[in-house]
Amino acid sequence: MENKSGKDLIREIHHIRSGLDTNFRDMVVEDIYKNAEQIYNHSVKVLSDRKYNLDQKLDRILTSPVWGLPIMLLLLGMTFWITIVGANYPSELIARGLFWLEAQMALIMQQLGSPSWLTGFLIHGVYKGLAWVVSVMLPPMAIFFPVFTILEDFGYLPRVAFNMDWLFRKAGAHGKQALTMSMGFGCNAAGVIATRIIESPRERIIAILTNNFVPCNGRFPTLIMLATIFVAAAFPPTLASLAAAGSVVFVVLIGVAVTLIVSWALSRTILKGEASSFTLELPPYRKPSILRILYTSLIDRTLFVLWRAIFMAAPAGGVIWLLANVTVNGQTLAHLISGFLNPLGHVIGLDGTILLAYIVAIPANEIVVPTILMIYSHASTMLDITQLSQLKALLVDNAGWTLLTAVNLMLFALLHNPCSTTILTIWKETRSMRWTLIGAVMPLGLAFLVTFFVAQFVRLVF
Amino acid sequence: MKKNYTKHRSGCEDCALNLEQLGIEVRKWDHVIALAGNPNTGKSTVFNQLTGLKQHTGNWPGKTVVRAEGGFTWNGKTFKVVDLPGTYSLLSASVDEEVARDFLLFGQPDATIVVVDATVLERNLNLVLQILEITDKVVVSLNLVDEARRKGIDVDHRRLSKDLGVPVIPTVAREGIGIGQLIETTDQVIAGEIITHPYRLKVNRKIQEALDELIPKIKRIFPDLPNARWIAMRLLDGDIRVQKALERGEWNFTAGASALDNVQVKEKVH
Amino acid sequence: MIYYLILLIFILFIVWWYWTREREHERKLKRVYQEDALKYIFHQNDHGHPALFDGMKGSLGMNGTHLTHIINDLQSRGLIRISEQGMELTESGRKLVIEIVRAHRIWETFLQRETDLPLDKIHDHADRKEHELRGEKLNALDAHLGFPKIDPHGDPIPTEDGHVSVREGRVLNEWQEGQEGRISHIEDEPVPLARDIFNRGFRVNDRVKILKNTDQGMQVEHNDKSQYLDALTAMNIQLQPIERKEVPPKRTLNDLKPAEQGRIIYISERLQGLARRRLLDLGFTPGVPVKKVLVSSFGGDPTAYEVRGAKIALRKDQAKYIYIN
Repeated sequence: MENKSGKDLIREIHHIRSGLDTNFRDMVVEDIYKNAEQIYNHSVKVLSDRKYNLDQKLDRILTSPVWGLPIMLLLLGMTFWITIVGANYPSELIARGLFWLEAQMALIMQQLGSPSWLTGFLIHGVYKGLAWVVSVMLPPMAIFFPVFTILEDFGYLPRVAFNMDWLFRKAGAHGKQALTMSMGFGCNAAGVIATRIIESPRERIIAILTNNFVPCNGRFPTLIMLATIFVAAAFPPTLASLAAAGSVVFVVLIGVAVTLIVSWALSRTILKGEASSFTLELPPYRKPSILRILYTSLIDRTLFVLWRAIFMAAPAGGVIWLLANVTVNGQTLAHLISGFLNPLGHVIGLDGTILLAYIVAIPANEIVVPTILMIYSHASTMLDITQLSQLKALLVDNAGWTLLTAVNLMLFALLHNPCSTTILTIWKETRSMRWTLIGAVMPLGLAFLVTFFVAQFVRLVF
Repeated sequence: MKKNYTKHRSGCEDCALNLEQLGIEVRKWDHVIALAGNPNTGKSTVFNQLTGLKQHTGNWPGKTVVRAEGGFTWNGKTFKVVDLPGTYSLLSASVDEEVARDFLLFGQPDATIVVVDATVLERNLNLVLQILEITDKVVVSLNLVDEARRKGIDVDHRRLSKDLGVPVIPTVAREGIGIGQLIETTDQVIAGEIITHPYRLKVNRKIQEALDELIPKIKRIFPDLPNARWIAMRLLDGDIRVQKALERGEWNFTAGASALDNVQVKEKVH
Repeated sequence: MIYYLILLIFILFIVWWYWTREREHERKLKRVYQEDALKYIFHQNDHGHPALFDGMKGSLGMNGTHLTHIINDLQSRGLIRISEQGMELTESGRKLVIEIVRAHRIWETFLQRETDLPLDKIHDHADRKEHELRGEKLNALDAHLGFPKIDPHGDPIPTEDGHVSVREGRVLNEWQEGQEGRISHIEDEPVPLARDIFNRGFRVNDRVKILKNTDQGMQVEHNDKSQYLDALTAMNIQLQPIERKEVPPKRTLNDLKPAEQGRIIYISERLQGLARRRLLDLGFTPGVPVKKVLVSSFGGDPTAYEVRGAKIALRKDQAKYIYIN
């Protein structure tokens, strides 16, 4: 019954509408604002413009042609520097503590009469994966995010979007992509969701597909570690941390450049068109409440890392242990597979072990480095390495890494396919198999391509 | 009835009000409160103050893109709070506006708190006026009044309240100022102790004539519709979602809970 | 043995899949031919005469037997009537054609507003899409666009109940020197001419002033620019008289100097869809004062404006549509 009258009503509406102007929408919004203006004038008095001028002055400096970009780079560099310097010691401490606990637990298990394979799987596999991720990931993240959040709460990020928009415009993308990329530092899945702030669908897809080129939480430590071992080591100790921070900034800038290039290419091929709608609000600056930030982001990040460690790294730890301990014809599975992947790895300046680690790490990029170390060390479990000098010795002397390996691993870490959570999120946000597939395969292809050319170039020239 | 106890926080003015923040642990609730507002008005901060959750906040428009939920207990009643994505309007068809609009229209919250930024009040009123057309049970949280004062913007909240026809509570959410009063007032609005007389939009003659023609026709088919005027406006604008709900006659006004599930966007990303 | 079986099943599956796809494709193609034939008859009838078999053959580029099949199909479906004079649409045939036209024009409007396909491509695209877009989907798109009354060429879009309003205007050549009008229609075929007209910036609703009118061609003023149109091109443009006698605004937001304030007169009709709605929602409505407060160091794009107490950055190619006094 209602159904029919509903349909009649719709017909009625068509009739009434045909008598109205086409810009009904415009009229309604105009009227609402006229009402709003009236109410506003009724109850609001503006006494002075004092604070506003301060905002204006800050804006002038932060977006000035001379200072705008340098300030941005400086802030980014400082954030990384504080992270690298600050995370070193706590990382070591946590690693010592957790690995000591591992030994104790293994001992207890032994005394309880558990078979060695069970102890191995649970303690040297699952627990160790967890311990590794916590010690490597937690300190840098717990430092990086509060610092970054202070910038965010202050209101600086929209200014970055404002400063960078000219580049994004040239790439056929949206300036707010700078904001979603910032979110990508935390987690690419969160970055993908944040693209909802981009109004126009075309530019939103571009932002979704390229978010992966910002190194996330799980990939940062890899970059920081490599930068510390290979780049910082070439500098005198006083400059070492600066050099490490500088090289991480450099990698991030490569990521930004790749983002822009890929955005440009997408907007000229499958996502043809010009940016269709751009509005960006620049909110007033606000004094960040530093204590609250420290508290919330510490809790936030700790929970995040622990959650990932338990649900992603711990199972992966078990898989790694199995790979390293199950033998076929006297060879471990890990060696068999990495041997099989070796030729491919060599072509792109890496090796089979690294590729194997990336396959294991599809659910969680965090465990790439632990996996690599475990296989290299020929130990049946992941190594207890608490000092970077030991690490370097292992990589260079035992595994034959060169600067090329390090550089290409950094590039690969930056470019390769998003983790499974991010891929799932892309699907949820776009509801399209096509974009999900492109979002997963395109970065991987690009990673192979870039590392291939770098490897060939380096081998030819040097 | 469950006994309330007070949770101590430093400088907490809510303590005297028996506020127990429940975080996301709400299984049963007596009332649902929707939290709406422009992007970057401190809406998430209000949400955190109410529920005790530490949802990450940031100073850029659109920080909250997914709907968050939490709860609190106050005076023996449990409230569920739904933090809607920040929007400038409810008229455009962007994803976040649809989420917010659908919840207000179909989710049927018992009350809606609209958080407005006192420093950009005029722009914020655009959304407030639209929400007032959808629902009567509205409380305005006039947030960031400290910042407004510093900028020399003086908002007469009593007069604003009189004009809008709904309670307006000045708040400084970051410091928890005014939150207690906000809860109390919202509760009174839900209980019907405060009767609101929401401002009705004055529209130009042409639109008014069209509305006058259409509203009685809608009311004849759906006599219980609380917001026929808004529905009429949306229909004239060609809002497909509203139109479909009418066409199929599936407008369900009693099953608040199931309607709630329909529009839920359950995404919690880590 | 089992392997062969699996292989066989696999091959059968492939064959079946291919076959159904071909069938589907054929069905679609048949529908396209039928609908194109209907459209031809519609246009002929519209000009006041029945459609003839030979004319149809030439226009659709089909061989005789194929066309006969199609015409028989149409007749048995009750869409056309065949008499000694030629073919005419029945009521239901007419309804179908109007729906096709509606789909074509709505799709063109959508493409013009929300993509940046060049206009000649838009026409081709709509020629294909008109056969797929129907019913609820079409109405939803119509609503999404805010029920546009004309398409980018100025042709009226039929309403859902089949009503087609009449287009007004006279071709450019008939206008006198010194007269001024608003473009009401730009012919979509022949495509090269249409492309040329659009590429030179002419759009429906633009103001055009006739400076000189000769048999070979005409000199017109459009957007403060003097342009020459040869007679053939001019025949593809129609003008209608300007209703309102207001002075056209000259300045847009882009013309504001830093820290200068202006008042919005209106947002150009050329800016449509999402971009327009977003601007309105942010308070860029007629009558509101807007102040240029922050200019990007990179070519002044984007620029931030203060509107209703908020600071909003816009790009130049959007700000150029906002007229101020």
